[in-house]
Amino acid sequence: MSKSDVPIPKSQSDLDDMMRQKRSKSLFTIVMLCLAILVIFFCSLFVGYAQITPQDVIHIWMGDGSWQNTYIINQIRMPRVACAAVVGAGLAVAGMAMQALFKNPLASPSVLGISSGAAFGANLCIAFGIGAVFGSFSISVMAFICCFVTLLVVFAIATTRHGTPTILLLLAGVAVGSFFGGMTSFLQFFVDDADILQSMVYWAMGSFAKCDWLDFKVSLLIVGVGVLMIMLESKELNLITLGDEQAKALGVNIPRMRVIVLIADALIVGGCVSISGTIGFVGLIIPHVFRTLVGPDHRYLSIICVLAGAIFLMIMDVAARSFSTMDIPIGVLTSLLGAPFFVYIMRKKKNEIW
Amino acid sequence: MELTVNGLDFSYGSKETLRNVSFEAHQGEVLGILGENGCGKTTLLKCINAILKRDRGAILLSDYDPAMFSEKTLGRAEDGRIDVKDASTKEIARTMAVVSQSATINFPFTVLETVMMGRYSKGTTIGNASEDDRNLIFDCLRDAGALELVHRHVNELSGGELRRVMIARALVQSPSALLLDEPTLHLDVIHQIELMELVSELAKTRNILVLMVTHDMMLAARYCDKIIMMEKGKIIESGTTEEVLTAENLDKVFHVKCRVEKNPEIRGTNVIIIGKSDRDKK
Repeated sequence: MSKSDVPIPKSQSDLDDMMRQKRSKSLFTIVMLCLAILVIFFCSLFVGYAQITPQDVIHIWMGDGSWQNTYIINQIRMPRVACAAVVGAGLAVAGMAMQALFKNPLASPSVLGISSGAAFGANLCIAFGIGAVFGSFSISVMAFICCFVTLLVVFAIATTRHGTPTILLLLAGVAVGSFFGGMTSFLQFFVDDADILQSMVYWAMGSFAKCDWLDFKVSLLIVGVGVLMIMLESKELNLITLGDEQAKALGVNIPRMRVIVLIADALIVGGCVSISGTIGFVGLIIPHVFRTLVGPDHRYLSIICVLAGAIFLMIMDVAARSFSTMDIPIGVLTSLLGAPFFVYIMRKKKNEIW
Repeated sequence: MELTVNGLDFSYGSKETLRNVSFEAHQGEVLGILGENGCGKTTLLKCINAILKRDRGAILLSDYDPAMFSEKTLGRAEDGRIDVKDASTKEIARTMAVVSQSATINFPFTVLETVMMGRYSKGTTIGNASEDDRNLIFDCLRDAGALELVHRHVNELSGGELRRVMIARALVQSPSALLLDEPTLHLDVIHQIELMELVSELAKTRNILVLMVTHDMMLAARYCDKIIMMEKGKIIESGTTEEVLTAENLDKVFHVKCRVEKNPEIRGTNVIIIGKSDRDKK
């Protein structure tokens, strides 16, 4: 957008108008995304292997559908779509926060290697049954615990006498992440059983196929807390994009906000990874796309990312179910479909991306 | 507000950057800190602002506005003087504003949004800005010459434009002290003069304490009330501009031959740079 033809504001009310315009654009986007979520949620219910029409869905909701269809909708498709929405929302917001915190366009929720840590924990459980005391949740709990352990390790490595510099955090994250990546490959190398190996690989690709209502409730709680923590820090996230020193000079308590945002990130990544496996790309592209559309003000961008991330993964999950009779792992699809879409946006808006 | 720096030491690791720096600065005056590159001027500002943690010494604020500090901080004050290390980041931001030398902003915030961020420490956001706040923001944008930029994105500005935006943001903080690190760097001459006029006017009308790090001896001679000269982390001269800015001192610190004179056409003192110092020619 060229701004050279815009008149110089003559009074404070001109500035007010400017702010009002910007705000209404964000609010309009939020309303549209809310509507889109409802439509997509409804549509996603009648796509899939079992032929269920929109009329059937309405009958089921009225309580007079056939029991098979009721079961498929209420116990398989609805929880699955709901989980996709929670994971998408969480990852998009976490990615937005990481990009701001590290002032790095390449940052994603797993920038500190925490999803590699979580994947290692899950694989330990799949391969050797470590953590089996947690019963049917053992994989999720192990993923979640290892996610937090990784964050602690990264933070400890990066902390010096003078504090925790951002760049050291980033480097420590890369190092620890690739270490756990290597450990995971090592585990897979040592597993003889083909079934176990298959479930390890499948887990790494990400899927919502096994999600039920309990998964949804637990993840909604954990991811919800993380998202809320990030939203409460959105003013501070705005300021930190100016640079750590500037933000501090303007009054931001950086160590405090950084700990809050990183814990929120670990909650979100841990919560998401433990129900769906690792799903890449959502946290990277959704914040970028919507930052170019509505601007970087995190107070609105965080709400928009929640909605847009949810929509993105809901659509991807529908695609995963409808391309073939087999469920395609969603992590594969987000990369296959997401990457070209991202390239398209990047080329079209190349001046407005940072 | 008054600022007292007493026996300040600072080192980056093993590199001693500031040694036993002591001085006082008073409200309503522009204090220039002059010295060559690497003499510790910027480090001094960062210590005062508590961005860097000093090794030894005291940095005390007195005659401050108590409304800007919490009970807890006020309780730690001795003889009515608060050490900056006892104040929170937010309290420091309420009393001191900084315009730092370099800033790279990648995020496409508009200039207006960026300037509004200056109100963070006072609890104002775009959503809840009061009539007074919004008037203040408009006035500061106008004073800093940034009004014409409000629609632009900060990541697309030139160095000089960004500098004006940052000055507007510092003014929006309505600070008792303004710390400027090479404020005229990258600015067009007209904007340099406008900025310095604005700064010295603010010091007088709003009774602000201005600390200005610079290596521009001509602007310092015209607009600073007092001057501190630094070399290798130590203060070597301090006093009023007339006392400190002598041809002899400029030769000593900057290794240039100058003539210092009074000229009725310009305000303050006039420094004319003649050339390399005679001492270095040998």
